[in-house]
Amino acid sequence: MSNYKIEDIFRISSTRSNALRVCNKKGGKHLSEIVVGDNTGSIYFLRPNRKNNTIELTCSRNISQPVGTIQSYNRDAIYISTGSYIEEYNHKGKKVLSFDTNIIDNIQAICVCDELIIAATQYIVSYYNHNIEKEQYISNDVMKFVTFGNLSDTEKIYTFVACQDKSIKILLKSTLIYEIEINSIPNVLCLSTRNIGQLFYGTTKGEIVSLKYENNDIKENWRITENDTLDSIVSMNYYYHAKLDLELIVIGFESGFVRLYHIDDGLPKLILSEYLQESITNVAFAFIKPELKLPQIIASTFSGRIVLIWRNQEIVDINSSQFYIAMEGIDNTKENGSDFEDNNNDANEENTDKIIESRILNQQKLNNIVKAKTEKLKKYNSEVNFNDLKKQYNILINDINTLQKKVDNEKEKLNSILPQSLHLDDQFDLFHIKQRFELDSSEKCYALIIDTDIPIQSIFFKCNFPIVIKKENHSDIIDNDEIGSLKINISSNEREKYSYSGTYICPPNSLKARLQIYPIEGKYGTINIYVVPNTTPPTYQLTSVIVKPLSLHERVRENEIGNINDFTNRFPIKGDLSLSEIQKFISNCFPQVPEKIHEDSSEYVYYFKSIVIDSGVCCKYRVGEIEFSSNNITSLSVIYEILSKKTLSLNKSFETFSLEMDDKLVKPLLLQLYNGLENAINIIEQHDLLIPVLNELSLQENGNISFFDADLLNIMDNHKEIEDNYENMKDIQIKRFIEGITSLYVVQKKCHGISNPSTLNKLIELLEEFKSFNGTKIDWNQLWPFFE
Amino acid sequence: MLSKVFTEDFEIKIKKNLCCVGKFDGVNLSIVFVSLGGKIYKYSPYLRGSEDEFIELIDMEQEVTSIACNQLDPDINKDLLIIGTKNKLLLYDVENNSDLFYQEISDEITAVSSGYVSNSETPYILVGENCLVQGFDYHGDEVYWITTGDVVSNIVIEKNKKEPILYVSSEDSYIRCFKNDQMICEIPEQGLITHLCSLHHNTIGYSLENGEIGVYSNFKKIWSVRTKYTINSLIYPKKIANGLCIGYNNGLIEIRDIEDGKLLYSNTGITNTTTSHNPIAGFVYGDFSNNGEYSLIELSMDGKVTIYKKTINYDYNTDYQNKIYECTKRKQDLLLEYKTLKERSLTISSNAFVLSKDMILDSFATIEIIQEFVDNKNLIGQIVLLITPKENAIIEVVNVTSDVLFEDNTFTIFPKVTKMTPPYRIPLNFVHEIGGEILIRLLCQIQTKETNTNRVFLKKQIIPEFIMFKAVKNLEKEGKSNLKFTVNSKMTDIVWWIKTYFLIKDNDDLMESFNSIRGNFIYLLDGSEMSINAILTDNSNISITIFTENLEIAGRCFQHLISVLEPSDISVVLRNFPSEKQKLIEILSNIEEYNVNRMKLTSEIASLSDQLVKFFILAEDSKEINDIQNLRKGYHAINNLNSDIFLEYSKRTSNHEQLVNSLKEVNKIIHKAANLRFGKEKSTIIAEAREAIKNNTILTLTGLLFD
Repeated sequence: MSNYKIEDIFRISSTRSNALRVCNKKGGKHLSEIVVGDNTGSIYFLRPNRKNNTIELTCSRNISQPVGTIQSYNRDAIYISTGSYIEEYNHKGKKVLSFDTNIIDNIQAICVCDELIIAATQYIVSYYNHNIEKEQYISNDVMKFVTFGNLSDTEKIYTFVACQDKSIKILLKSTLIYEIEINSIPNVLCLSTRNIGQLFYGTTKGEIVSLKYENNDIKENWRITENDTLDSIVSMNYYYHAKLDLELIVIGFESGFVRLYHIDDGLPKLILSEYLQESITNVAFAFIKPELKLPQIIASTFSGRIVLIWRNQEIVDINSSQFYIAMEGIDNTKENGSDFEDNNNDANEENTDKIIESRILNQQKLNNIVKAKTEKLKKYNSEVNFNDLKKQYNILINDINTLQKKVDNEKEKLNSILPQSLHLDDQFDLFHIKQRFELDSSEKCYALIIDTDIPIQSIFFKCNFPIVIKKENHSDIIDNDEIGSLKINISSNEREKYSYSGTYICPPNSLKARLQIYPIEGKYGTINIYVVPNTTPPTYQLTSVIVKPLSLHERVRENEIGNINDFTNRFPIKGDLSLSEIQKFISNCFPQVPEKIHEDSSEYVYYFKSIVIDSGVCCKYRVGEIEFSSNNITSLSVIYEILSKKTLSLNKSFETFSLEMDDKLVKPLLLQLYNGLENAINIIEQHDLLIPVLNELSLQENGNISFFDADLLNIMDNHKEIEDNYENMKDIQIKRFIEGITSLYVVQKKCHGISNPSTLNKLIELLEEFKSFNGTKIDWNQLWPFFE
Repeated sequence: MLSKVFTEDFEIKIKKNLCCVGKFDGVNLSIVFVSLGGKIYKYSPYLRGSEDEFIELIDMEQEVTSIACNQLDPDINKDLLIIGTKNKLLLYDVENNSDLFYQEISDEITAVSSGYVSNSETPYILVGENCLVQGFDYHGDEVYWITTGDVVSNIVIEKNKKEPILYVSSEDSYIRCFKNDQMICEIPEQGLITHLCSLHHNTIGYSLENGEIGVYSNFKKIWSVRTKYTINSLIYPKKIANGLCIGYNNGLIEIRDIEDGKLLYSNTGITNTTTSHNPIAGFVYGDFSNNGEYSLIELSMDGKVTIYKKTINYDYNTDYQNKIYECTKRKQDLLLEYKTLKERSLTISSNAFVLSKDMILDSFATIEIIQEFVDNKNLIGQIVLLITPKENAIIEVVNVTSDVLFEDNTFTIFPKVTKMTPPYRIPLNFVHEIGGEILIRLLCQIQTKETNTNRVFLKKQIIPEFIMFKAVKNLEKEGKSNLKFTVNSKMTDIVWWIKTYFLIKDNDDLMESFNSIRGNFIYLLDGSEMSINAILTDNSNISITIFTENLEIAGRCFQHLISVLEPSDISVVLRNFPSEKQKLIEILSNIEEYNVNRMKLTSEIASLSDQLVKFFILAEDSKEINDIQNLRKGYHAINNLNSDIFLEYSKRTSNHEQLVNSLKEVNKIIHKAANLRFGKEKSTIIAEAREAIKNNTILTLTGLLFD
């Protein structure tokens, strides 16, 4: 195990992002103070106690509403938003000022600078001067993260926005200065204090990217993409030590990882990775331990743990002008004087030698110190009597046991009172749930993550449309977590048509459940989730997630769709439709679309791309008019079905409302589905039949398999990959392709006016035969005639 | 805790679980492992650099199913290697390269182990087979014989010489514990047991196919965890860590604390990924350098051997310090929880009176367990959980869990989805017929005048051992077969036993008088009848008669009764099972027939192959002299003969299969019949029965089992 230290310093109720702020006083020697707010509306002011090396609570305030965001500039100007209010506190927790912004939405970011107050919600950035609203910027998509800072013009405050439509925007007041399009959804932004204009962003896919804005142009410096299995990034913090020229950046991941990077020569290097088993909500640098010169990491989790993480570190003065600083993973020799740096620029070989020499020297020095310290520790350890420790441990265990009994008794007592009194006024206060349901385009599924602040006992699911739920399994990240057991019942009967239910029993003390949900395109509905935690009294909460009809599409930009001209299947609608109605309808059909729309320009366009096959949907609309176009007639037909159902219930009529199919596009689509199915069946066959035989053969030949066919060798090489894909192929992909082919068939016939094609059963039979894996090769010549 | 010393790559595929370590020259430790295809290799770290460091020992030319080694011969101070293949058991002297004995086993060998059993002077070789464990000494003489419920999957013997416990896991998901040749405990598990590992005295670690790892101490489970990955190996490296070392299929190595299952070590790097992806084939552990420095050796499936040593800086002191630190934290957490709970209950109890009154609810639903017939004709039935919600409660979810009674531990019903109407009838399907506890969890919505509240309602329900027996008033006819025995116990104890371990809803179901009790039952799984009759006899003993045609049921009741009541004096008066006896006689005569058939078929195949050679020579000779017609004839005949041989062979295999099945049946009957005895008598009967089978005396066997 790595030799970094981790310590729980405080515990509050469940927290959310941006609700923790560290106030560092000017001047290095002072310790930081922490302000943190939770979902029950309590704000805690914490400060380290130098005497006994702990964190103490200065005071706490209750504002009865969940804390939105906290911003602080120095220890006496702490701004806290709750709902539409901004309140100012001093470091002792005294309320100085309260200000109502009159925005309907919750504030997610604030900035206060002299008379200017900026408040940002999901769609609006609002600027106030002397408490009077001056300007507003309205975004046409959800703003995931907003932060404020300086650019080239240090006098002005710029607003940096991470937007759901895969872009980062830089605003000055309400005018858009610059917009950069990136290739995944940004979730967090963080500004460098070393180089003005340098910024970092973290995406929902776990990428960390550094950008540099200069002269109206943005350049990418570096990017870290290896964290794609760690889930979305939820929090980032930047630290720069000017004297040491030390740049650190800490990243908090949704999955519970905290990673610290050191930016060395402009490139990041991972120096610490810690797994906290719960969703991280905030990470920050702080100075809590008086004996440490470099900052420590503070992380807060959803359940309300506040954790301090640090590594062993040393600062050694070698002589008056040179000193050595080291944290495990980083080593830096820095000069106090400036003469050395000048030489550096010349890249003088002699000097580099000298540097290396001095580095080695310093390393030795450090090693000696570390050695001496460990020796000391060892000596101390040997002095401590082993039996004493054992005794102490046993006493503790006894204490715990008696306490556990007491707690159990108290629980029992509480339970015996509660059924009579039904005193359950605020059951939602008993525990908090955070759920995340997001498209994972690489796994071709949705990730469902449920976080609670009280250990989950079990989770029950039910829905009445076909999906597949699986336990999440990252193949290469080992989190040493125990896993719960998942049991799925699928039943279909005539009354209910289809019912899918699952039970997930969580391992003890888990605050988090992660599952993968594989939908099938065109099958949609609500999944009801009953979460049962270990509360007293026992209770549960019902939450739900919505699987949208075209759930396997992701939103893209125009240039990401190559064959836009091929979208000749059309579905135009004209009629009495308002913009918000259309927007709502589209957001009900596709994922990653905002529910509301603010701007009022003449025409809007959305592009969507399927994550299973190479097809897409383009959707253009203006008031009273929508036009969907696609190369996949099935997708359009799904929209058609839903819209006709909807209009029926709303009693609306349209001037045009018809599906126009381009017959030319059926064959390429079918070919794609066919190839997908063939590929999936191949993988299953290779896994089930070929690989065991090949393995045996290779064994008999003592591993000498060079006589194999190139194809076979290829299969042997890809063995691991096939193994990884096997489960998914067998359970899900085949189902998706077969469903795709049958619905394509039905739609094609429908467009030609045949509503109940007689050969449908034959087609299903044929496909079933392909699926049975009894060696029947899937045959294009058998399949195609159905569509001719 | 562990640090890697070095890695050696042999570039052969090592088979999972087939490795052992022994002093084959009497001084130095060597590792023996098996590659796919049955080649056995020896790796001796002490011979580093020399030619003999890594050598191939023997090629068994068939799949090796298990290997073990031990110092079997007290006269030679070195370890001997035991190799079990599909149907052969071989004792092999590695140093002299000689076979010491060779035993053909008719059943498949599934596990091999060695150690002291039943205070023997030398260690035995124990061989797990279909439903039985056989023990041999180093001469190859059979010295030990016990039966188990199914195909044996693992055998583990404790290392100590005095009264070691033998643990045997079998494919019916049971771990059975034997002392000498008496079974002392049966532990049911929820899945196929893949590995067992002896820890201390009376303590054993296990792993299941579904990824569960746990530890039993004194036959009680002390912890279990479920991991995501497949477990390939378990070992207890005592001198390295006080923990269970687990090797996974994805290359992960973990050490978990024996006492609480807490993770002590895992070989993940800074980015929390495994350092290698090679599936672990097995671990060995020992003092390879002969200087008291123990090391743990990991063998991976693709032929890498990695040596780990205990990290120098690591010591138990810091371990304890960490433990103390964690305990202090836990104590603080508990104190906090206690405080909040106390506060809560105070606020509530002060408000309780004001709030409740018209909202008082005793409970939201009634829960009952009932036995009902599914098939009234054959009297086959099932156990049903009957849940009746009260008016103001809507049941959203019903979830039933149990540690061992259900497959996958749990099942869930959504009454609304399945459009059930109250009262809800939920059939319970138990996988093991044992007593236990189920936990019923109801997710209810309680509707009151003001609001709806969500509540979870928990109820623990005891499932008695003999739940599948439904008590009935009277039976149509009294069975012929019965087991009659007397015990010196109190009548009230017998009555208590029946009432506790059978599901008796109504006292009328039992016929009770001051000196007798009678219960009539129907076994819901097959509809057979069973009745228990206990009468107080003159000499204040109680005479009990169990009437049933089913030998197994009689045995189960008998064993359970004496294990619960523990009477000091038991004497079995009568074991009368004519139908079982008849069945046994039939099976035994069948076996004889199969044996005769086997001989006949073997000779037939032999004669066929003789002919084959003849025709082959004919054909080849004709080819030499260019006699095409005879060549054709010859090969035609060979073709025909070939298909004949195929046919004969398939006959032989089916015959063999039947033979094996019959043998299994016999073993089962012996196992069941032994259950009609107790204590010493029980183990003697098994030994005697074994002797009778060996001597092929049917009459003695049947006479022995049923008097």
